[in-house]
Amino acid sequence: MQHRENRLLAILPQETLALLEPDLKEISPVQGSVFLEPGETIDRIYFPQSGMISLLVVSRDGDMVEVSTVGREGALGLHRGLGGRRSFTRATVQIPGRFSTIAAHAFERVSLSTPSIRDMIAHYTETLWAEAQQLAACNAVHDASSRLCRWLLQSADHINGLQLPLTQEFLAQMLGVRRTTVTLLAQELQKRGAVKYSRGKVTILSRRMLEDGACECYEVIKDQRLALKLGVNW
Amino acid sequence: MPKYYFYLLDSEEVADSDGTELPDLDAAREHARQVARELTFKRDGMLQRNWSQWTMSVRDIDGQVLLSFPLGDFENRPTGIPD
Repeated sequence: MQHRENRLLAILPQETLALLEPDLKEISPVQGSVFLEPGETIDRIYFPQSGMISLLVVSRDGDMVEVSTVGREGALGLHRGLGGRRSFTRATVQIPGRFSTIAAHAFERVSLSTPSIRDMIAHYTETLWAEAQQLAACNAVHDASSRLCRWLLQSADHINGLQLPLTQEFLAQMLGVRRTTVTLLAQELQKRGAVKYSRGKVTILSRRMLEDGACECYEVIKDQRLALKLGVNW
Repeated sequence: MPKYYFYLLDSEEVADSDGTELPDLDAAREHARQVARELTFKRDGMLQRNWSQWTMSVRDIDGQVLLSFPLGDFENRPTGIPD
């Protein structure tokens, strides 16, 4: 099993990962699988090796907005290692892939006796907090095209690939704009040669063009994640 | 519900070829205006051409133009909403 494909598990010392390994399983859920609903008790932690999890806030009238994504550099429910926790959001599989997963009680048992895991939880939580702040500002002040470029690049990094099985309806929900707006912006990117899109799939042809088109938030968030990966300031 | 198709026109065309189902032409006009607001928010134009060079048009399934307006109307307005 390839648990170290997940960047958080990869930075743990071998002897620490060995404590988790007897309880780690590997699963390959289908697109749309729901791992958590708002208010539910977190009973498993998920570490994507590939694929991507979306965290969605569901409004009272049923509208959903994506507020964060979790890929191979992160984990879903990691803070559960510090004790019983409930989920704030719905968590669904947006891009299918392989996920390492562990029961919450097993993870908590190891984490409570292992400082390096508690450090990982603290630093990852800090990174998510920084990312949420950056994205709140981004959604308020940056244009839809820059945010689309930023989002495509982040998703490609999450799954470590250039083919994104994402519908325009989903991208619109993600960016908080009409589906028509996303279609017109995607057409523009396609005319420029940055992406190619067909029904339900976006293929990145030029990362550089998307990087030129993206707001600075892409680099800021990437640097924060890189700092976590390298264990800077640990 | 009828389907409406939203286009941006300059010397070339950027098209929403899938179309969007909406109750009537009033709803299509409001949708077009909202899309125009979202496109022009904090941006100068598309494909290196200023918004003043682009026209938004709404067509029916037969390609007949039902309404059109210049995107330049949405530029440099704090709310992005033309009068």
